[in-house]
Amino acid sequence: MAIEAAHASPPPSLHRAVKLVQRNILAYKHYWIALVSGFFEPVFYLAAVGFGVGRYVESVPYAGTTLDYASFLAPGMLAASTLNGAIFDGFFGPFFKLNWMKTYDGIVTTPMSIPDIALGEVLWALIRGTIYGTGFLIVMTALGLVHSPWGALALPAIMLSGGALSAGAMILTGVTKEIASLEKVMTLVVFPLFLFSGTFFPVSLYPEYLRPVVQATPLYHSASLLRALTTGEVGLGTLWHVVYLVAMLVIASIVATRLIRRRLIS
Amino acid sequence: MTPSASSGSDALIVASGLSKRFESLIAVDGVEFEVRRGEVFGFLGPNGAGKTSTMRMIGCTSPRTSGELRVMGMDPATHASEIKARLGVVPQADNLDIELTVRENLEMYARYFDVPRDTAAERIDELIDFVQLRDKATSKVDPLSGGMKRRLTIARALVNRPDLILLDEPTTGLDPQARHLVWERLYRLKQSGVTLVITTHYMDEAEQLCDRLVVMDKAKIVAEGSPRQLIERYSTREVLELRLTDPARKKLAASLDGLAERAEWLPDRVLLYTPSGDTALASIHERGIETDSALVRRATLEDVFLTITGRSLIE
Ligand SMILES: Nc1ncnc2c1ncn2[C@@H]1O[C@H](COP(=O)(O)OP(=O)(O)OP(=O)(O)O)[C@@H](O)[C@H]1O
Ligand SMILES: [Mg+2]
Repeated sequence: MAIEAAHASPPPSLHRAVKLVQRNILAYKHYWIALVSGFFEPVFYLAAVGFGVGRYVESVPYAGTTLDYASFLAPGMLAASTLNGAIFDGFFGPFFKLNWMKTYDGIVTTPMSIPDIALGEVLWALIRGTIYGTGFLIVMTALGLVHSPWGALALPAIMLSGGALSAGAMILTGVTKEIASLEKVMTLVVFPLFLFSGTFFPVSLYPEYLRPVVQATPLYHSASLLRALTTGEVGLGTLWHVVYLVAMLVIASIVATRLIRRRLIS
Repeated sequence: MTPSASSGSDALIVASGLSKRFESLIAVDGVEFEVRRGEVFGFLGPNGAGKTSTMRMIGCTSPRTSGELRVMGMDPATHASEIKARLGVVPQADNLDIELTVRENLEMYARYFDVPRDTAAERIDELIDFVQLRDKATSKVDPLSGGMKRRLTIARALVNRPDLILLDEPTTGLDPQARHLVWERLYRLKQSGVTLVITTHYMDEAEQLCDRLVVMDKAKIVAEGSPRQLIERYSTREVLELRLTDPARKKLAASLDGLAERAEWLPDRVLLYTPSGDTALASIHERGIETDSALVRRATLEDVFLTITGRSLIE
């Protein structure tokens, strides 16, 4: 037991984690179409729901006043795009590498440690999420949906959100083994999160007793943070979202690393 | 504070009382061995004997449950990265990066090992030739044949110029040409001073390659020595293999005295362990026993293996 405990490896090295990012870039050279497609999904939602359905919604109550629907929805979709990236790169990718392709089994025979690998995957997810987020932010700006100079901070907020959600997604990797669980996670976790986290409509529409539940979800904090920045309704409450996401990034990374270690090192 | 090389002696791996337990199952039970610098050291043993479990502990991908283990003077529990930096690993099951091409696999592993780019490019070229995969260099890994994947895995294990290579059944599933190619390559590595630890189910492979080996059975080491020593200790110089009709079999059983040191009665054959097969065969004919067929051969490691670990499949 004492010996097993000693195996708890040192903290990740950024230098080594970056190698995993390089590996993913190399792999994605072969699937660049998949890389590009991730950008369009939130844009499609914004177009269909924001400008389609939005035409029938006069305005949405927000921060004591009201907001036109597209301006309300766009930061929600921005948050959702970081969730998308997190699920792809924090869950699907590592899931297949761990369970099917045995990629990590090979990598851990090199000086790369499991924390290095976990950090590498989170970094990669974060980079990809940031690229999507930036693209979407440009679209939003062009459409006049960014209403405040605070919007410039949306970029680091996207990175934070992408990192936190990816680390959360890595926990899913650590607890799933079968292909069937991918579908379960999508329908029971990801989709409800996407729909009900204050992304499409404000939390104030929920009955009183449901609000704390919604307000506990990571995507709620991510969407609220981004919305505060793009509308300029920044307050002390905004800081709470940041704290939540930073805590999630740290805690989820540690938990995910432990779970994945248990699967790789036996 | 990094303990350097080995502590005075020439031992690259030292294990004593080394054990591995998976919940209630004991996979490795207090084994003791030493692998010396520059030698080829073999682990033989039936399925489930604990060979892979031992190799994974050496390779720092499986923490030991108890006992002592030093690899290049360092403890895998505390110096995994340092040990792994000087190790090459060919695992029992291929785990190549199937999203990358042959060359990219080697390039990425060179990076994991921090091999400088220029050095890596040159070395990778050499390695691709070394395992004869030149015309597959830009192919993805998935469509490669099993043997090609195995060769790529071997090349991958060499990308960091390791001092010690762990090969878990490196030639399982290879055709004879590919096996001979691998043997020849492994021999060249040995010549260049690399230490090799190998597991195999091919006794001819072990006999050819290994300077010393251990036989594991049911989580324990049950025999140790050079192939020659083991044959001398556990077998006779020669083996006489006979195929007999039922009556002849009975007759032989009745007048076995003095014919051989040991006889083994298999359903289809009788094996007589004897210093001289020809002499034994002559006496059998003298005793008026008809043989359907008779073959005199030198005892091999396979005889030793079967003697030690038994012929039945006990799972
Ligand atoms: N990760 C694991 N979890 C639980 N049991 C395991 C694990 N790995 C190995 N074992 C068990 O440990 C025992 C030894 O297995 P090991 O793989 O070391 O055998 P081996 O000598 O390599 O066999 P083979 O020749 O079939 O490869 C077996 O009973 C096996 O089922
Ligand atoms: Mg094995």
